[in-house]
Amino acid sequence: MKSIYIAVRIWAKTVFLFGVFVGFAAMLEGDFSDIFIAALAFFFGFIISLPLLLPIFSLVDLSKRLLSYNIPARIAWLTFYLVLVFSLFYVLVASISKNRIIGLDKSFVQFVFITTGILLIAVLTTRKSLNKLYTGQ
Amino acid sequence: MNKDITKIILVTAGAVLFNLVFWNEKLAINTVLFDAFLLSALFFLYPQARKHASVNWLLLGHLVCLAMVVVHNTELSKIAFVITGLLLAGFAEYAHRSVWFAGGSIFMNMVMVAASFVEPIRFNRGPAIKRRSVSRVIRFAVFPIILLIVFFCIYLGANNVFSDIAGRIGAQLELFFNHFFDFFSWERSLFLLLGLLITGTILLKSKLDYFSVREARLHDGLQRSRKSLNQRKKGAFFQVIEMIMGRMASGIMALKNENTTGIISLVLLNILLLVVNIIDVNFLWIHFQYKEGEPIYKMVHEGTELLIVSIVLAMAILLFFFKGNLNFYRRNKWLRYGAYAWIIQNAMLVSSVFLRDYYYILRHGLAYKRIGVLFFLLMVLVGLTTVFFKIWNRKTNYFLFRVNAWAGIVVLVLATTIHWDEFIAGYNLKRKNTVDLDVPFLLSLSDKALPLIDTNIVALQKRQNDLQALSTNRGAACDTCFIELLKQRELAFAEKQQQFSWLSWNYADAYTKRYFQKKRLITAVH
Repeated sequence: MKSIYIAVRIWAKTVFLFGVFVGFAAMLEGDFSDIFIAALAFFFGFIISLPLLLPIFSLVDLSKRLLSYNIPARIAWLTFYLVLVFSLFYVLVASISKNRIIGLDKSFVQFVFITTGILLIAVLTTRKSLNKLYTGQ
Repeated sequence: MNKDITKIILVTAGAVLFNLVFWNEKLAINTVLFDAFLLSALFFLYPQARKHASVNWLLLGHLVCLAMVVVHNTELSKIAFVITGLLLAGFAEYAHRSVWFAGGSIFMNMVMVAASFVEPIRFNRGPAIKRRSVSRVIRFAVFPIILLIVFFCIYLGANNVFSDIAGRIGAQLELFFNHFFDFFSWERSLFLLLGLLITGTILLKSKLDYFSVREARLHDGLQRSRKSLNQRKKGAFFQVIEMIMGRMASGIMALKNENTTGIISLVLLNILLLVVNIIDVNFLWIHFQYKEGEPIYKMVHEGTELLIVSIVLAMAILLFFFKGNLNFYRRNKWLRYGAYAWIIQNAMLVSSVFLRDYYYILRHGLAYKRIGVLFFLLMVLVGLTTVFFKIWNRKTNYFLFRVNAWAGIVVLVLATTIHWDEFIAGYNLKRKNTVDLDVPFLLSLSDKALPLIDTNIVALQKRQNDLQALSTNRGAACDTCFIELLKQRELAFAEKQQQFSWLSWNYADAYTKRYFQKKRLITAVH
């Protein structure tokens, strides 16, 4: 099992789940145009989050080298840093789009928690592949 | 109880305590509560730690900083409290002698905190079928949910009644979530995670003991080692030396050539520095006087930064020459004498920089940067002394950095025992007739200095107006500007204090509060 393959899977799952979440939230709002924007954001998300593949790959590869820790600990470590990377990416994108550096506002904190939830699902559904990567099968 | 589980319980309890005592509060008396918990937990988890002298000394320094957080509540005391606390954990958990390596280990703790937190938890592996079924449910649900969303949107547009019902359900859900999130603070949850990160970093020892393993290989005493040309070529500076010296850097006589280059360099540098020192002795030490019309900073302040850089560079040069086998070279006597002379001359340069700073303080009073220069010079003197010992006793760079870091910690802890803002205000106000007072700067000092400024404000206002009258192009004089500014500071202080509970109590704020309360009482009576 190669690190790059797992990194791509985690990234794709995260962006996909994020798109579904945004779509679901827009559906609850009941605004048809919002759903259209969410669908656009869903496809656009794959493009703008493409640079994240590099840090995700590095983190997956690093987690492989933490030999003194057991597998659940390595997965927890990976998830923690993935949340950190996605949060930093959010700060970067939001700061560029708003033309100012965003701080610890409510939307950022909500983003961190939503991302944590989504990443937990993405990493846990990739658990089998991660197990294979860590055990060298 | 299993120690692994105890660790998790202690870290979680620490995070909850952190959340309770620090949320919307400042570091003050609450720090004592949190620190008492952390120290008890640390020494409970690592009981062997108390046997090490370095841990006990650091504990003493840490407690001094803690006391100063409660008494002075300065930013410096808070920074020192955090640094000594982290280092204490580093020394308690790992076998370290150097502050640098202990810092590295604590950094490793921080990097690995998520893994260290999960590591002790033994996951109860349920039946494989059950786990697989959950995974299958998630996978089966994805596609139908997307279809559901798409068709929901279509019906929403096509059927008005459906759209109305969906809208009402949506509004109710929105209301529910809004209430839920009002009750459940996202920011506070993130703060809880921060508490978990801090407590975990201090209490959970990382399994990667890279820094303690690296340090175990290092010694204070320099040992002679024969190095082949290939080994020397791998050295960091070899390429540079070879580029300058050519074949002389790699032959049998390489050490002798290095020695000769060192002697020539140090002789030339000593002569150059001697000239600079003679000028300084003549200009600063013996015949110093403030020249009329020439700004004081031009005479003494300019160039101080460059002199400091030159002293640090001088130490780096000595470390370069005495980095390896040249320490054991039989004919290095003149190189060593050159180095000692260079150290003594640099100590003289330190004294000259000190005098520059002193003259500046005499004319303009105290300020942060001027005090900072004094501390820096003290550290440079310690550095020069240890460089002398390193050459004299053939010690390693590890020894040098270790001793200097400890000296830095001692200076840091001692520096916390003084409330610098109050000290600056007191010093400058006492000399208000001889020093060029910078009243706006005084009014920017922390709240503890406000009572002192308040008792002198009328005199300060008058002095400022006199100065403004002397310099015609600085705008019209104002009789109440600074009094107004001080009132604003007082109001801001009172407003800030109302936001805090007893958890933010500290002596400095209590003193300022009491002063203004008394003043208001006196004003009311009159």
